[in-house]
Amino acid sequence: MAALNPPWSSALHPHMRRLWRAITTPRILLSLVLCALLIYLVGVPLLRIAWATITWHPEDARVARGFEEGAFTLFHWKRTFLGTVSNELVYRPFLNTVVTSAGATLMALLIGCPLAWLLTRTDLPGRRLLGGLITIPFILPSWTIALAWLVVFRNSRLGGAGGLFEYMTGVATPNWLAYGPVPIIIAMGLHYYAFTFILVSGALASVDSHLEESGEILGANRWKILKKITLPLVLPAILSAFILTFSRSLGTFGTPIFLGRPVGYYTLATTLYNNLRMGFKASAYILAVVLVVLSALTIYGNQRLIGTRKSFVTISGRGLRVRLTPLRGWRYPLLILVLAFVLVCVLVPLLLLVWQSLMLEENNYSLGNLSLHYWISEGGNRRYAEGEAGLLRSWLVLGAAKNSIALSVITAGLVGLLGLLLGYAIVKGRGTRLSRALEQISFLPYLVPSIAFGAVYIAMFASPLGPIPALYGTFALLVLVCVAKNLPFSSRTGVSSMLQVGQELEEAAVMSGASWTARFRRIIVPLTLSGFVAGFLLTFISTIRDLSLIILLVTPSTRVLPSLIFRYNEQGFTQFANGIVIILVALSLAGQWLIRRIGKKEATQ
Amino acid sequence: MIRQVSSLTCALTIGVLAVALAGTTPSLGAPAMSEAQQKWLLEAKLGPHSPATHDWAAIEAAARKEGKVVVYSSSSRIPAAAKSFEAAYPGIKVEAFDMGTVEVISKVKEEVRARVRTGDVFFAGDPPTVIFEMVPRRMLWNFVPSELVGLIPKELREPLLVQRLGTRVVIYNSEVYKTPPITSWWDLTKPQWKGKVQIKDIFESGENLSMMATFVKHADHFASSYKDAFGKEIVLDKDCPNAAFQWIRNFLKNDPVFAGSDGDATRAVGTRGQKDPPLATVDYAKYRDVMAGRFVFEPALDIKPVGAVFYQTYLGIIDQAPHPNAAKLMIRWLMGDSRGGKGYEPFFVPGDYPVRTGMLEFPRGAVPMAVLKNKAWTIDPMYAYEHGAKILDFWVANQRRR
Repeated sequence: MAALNPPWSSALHPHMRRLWRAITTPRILLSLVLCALLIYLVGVPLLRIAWATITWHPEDARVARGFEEGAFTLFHWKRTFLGTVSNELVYRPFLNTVVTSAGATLMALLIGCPLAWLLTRTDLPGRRLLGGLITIPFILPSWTIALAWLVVFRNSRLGGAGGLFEYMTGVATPNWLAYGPVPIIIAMGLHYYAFTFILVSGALASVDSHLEESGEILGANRWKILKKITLPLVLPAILSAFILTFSRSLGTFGTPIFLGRPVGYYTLATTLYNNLRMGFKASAYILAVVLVVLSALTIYGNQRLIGTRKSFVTISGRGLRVRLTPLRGWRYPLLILVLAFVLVCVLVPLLLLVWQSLMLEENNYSLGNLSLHYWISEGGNRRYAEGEAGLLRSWLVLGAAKNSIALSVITAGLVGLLGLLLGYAIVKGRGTRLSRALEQISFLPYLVPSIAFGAVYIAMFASPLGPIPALYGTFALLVLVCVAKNLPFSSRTGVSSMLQVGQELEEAAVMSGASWTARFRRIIVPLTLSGFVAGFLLTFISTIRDLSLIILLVTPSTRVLPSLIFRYNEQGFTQFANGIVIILVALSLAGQWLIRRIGKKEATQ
Repeated sequence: MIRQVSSLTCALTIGVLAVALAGTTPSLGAPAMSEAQQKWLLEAKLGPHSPATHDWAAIEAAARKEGKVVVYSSSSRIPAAAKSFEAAYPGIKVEAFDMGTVEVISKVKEEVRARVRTGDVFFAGDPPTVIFEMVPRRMLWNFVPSELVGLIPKELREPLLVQRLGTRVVIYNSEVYKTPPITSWWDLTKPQWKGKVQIKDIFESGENLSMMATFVKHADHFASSYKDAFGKEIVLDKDCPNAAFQWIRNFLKNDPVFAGSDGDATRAVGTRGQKDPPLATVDYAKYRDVMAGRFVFEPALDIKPVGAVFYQTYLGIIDQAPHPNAAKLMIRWLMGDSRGGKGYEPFFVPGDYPVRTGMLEFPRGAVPMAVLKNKAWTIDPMYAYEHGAKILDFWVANQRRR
């Protein structure tokens, strides 16, 4: 490798010279820089938040007297876990979080797994198209279904007129169906099944049919083959899906706040939000720590549970063959079932939100009530939404849309690039301790649930730290938190696409005297472009729709569409809120389409 | 992806400690004045350097040079005031943000602590936090236009200028009920209103928390009005220090609905065509929705022991604001004049009460101050500050959360 030799190197001891040469090797230098960056973005904030739970804050003057700001104390931990408020502050939200997350995850599995099997292993007609439709919920904000749920099932508890259900049947929706754990589980389950579907269908697609055929030759029936061969092979993937989905739902904020608040059903995420808003920082940070520990324990438990059985070698040479199970007489009934599912869970919620945004008077479902008022009016009539201008004329909405696009494009670009660099450093250093450390630290953000991540970043960047100015209220802070949170996925994509680039290509370039930057730019980047595009897309989608991660960090000048939706919902301007969901979905789809196109064009050039 | 966790802790600790400890000392709002602060006060002629009379021509000239003013406001009516300000002072741009009290306060606190100098004018309520946390920590500076000094009672211009008194009231749907369906706050604890009272969780609303503190301060009135409502003496639970705490417990037992905002609660009560509408505790100023024909509701002002609770909405200049002179102009604009004035116009609505004496007109629709005064209490910031946490804890502990 082309390492630099400083002009004064002859004066140095050979050991020092070797060390110098080692750390100036591009791969090692890169690894060290990335390690430092990751520690700064994830490790330091975590320590700072832990520190903040054991010190006094100025705001504590409301709950205690005679303390010295910044001094050590266990007061907050005692108050949270042993005080009169403990039950409502931490234990019940904890229980609610576990119940809703587990319920949603279970539901996601029950829907996602059979769908994955149907679409990858059977001869169901139109599988490719269906596969596309089925993953749509994944690109929608996770709380889209929650808002659509309210359109249908809201009852007079929230006041005003009831939802569509009440309008059609005249029967008031019972509370348990309208709000609380049941709808939260359903709404989150209907979002996360797409995540399970993607993970499990990937695993199913790589199961070699030879194994199943062997079973068949030995006389096993189809059910037995599924139970004894296929299922055990994909079980690790299913378990992983369970754990990953579970730890994701822990930090979900939107769905539980929309559907839980009306009946006082709070989760750790919503309690954390309330605490931070009211200035009870220490309690909020303790809840963040609880979330991180819960998530880490889950993942650790999963690892102990499946441990080495994480994967099986099922792909041998080029022999992979996927034989499709014939559905015979079940083909069309199942097709109809899947289509109905897509209709009910994907299209209907979106259509409901569109319809609702067109209703001049709320919850009046007659055709005469349809109007474009909330989209294009110039405002001024205080009867409707306090006279605010329509969505397409509102500088608030346009500003938020601009911020949303900027945030997701910048984040996705940075994350894509970092992903490639990480992939390069990890793959080229395979087997070394540095590479392992890098790979492990880059996974760390996954352990921190989204809302806790936001809380961590407030604690971290509220005041200047060394040469870095306070980032509170800046756009940069949003970018930073989104970049950090998305790193685990992009480093995965980076590693896998880097693995496909043969060592010899770069070596040849070294021989002909190409510098490291030239090699990276002219060999690595072009060859891993599809991986970059994939990473970019994933980050773009998850950033543009994110609420949990940014809700604590946005301020009026850095508003993005999801936070605006939240605000309008709080103000009771539902038509506006639902209309913006539609704008958000449109932007997200358009962005995807555009990126895919550009990616394709670049790749073929 | 999952295997990575095992030696994660190990990998983490390698470099984290060194980096973390370098920056872990939290920087807290120091009580001593910094040099920058002193310099700013001198230049901005604020605090100890405040003159007895204001030279508005000079302030306006300086404000034009600053060119801009940033207002953090808890009111959704601020854009209207900003618009009229820009028309009156062309060349000075207004960035007005409408955020809700809790957000305004946390934003200003975080910005001052982070030494991010963006905001100029603070415009929000939550008296205990403002008066006992922000003013003593020199996060906010008082500015009273000199010509108003004689027109505003001292307690409404010191330690921070009050722009108007907001009013918390109980409202009912006036399409369904021709007269108020309740006569006492205790009625809200009766079975017929179970699950039918909308309120913003005090965990999310400083105004409501302060209102509860005001109830606690006047607990003996709650004791006597219990007798009026139920015809017998109140018996307190062992852990309820007084009748107001008992009311809070009984109220929470009756399953109130936590609304997302006052707007939500107003809509819930005031939407037309309902059969069994709820009640709600909201801002009287929401009555403008009735005037605009949007909703149908009335406040129940004759309930016992109190018909309304006043709370202060403050105006102040944020510490080391980048546009202090434009901020002064803006504050004068928002205080209006004896006929209301353009800047005060959006706040010249029924249910909001101006603090200056000698107003020639009052907004139509609401009960005049002279009448309401006798049925209302005013939030005592000191009392609310000292008892707020205890009340909040009691509230949280008694919530039957599912």
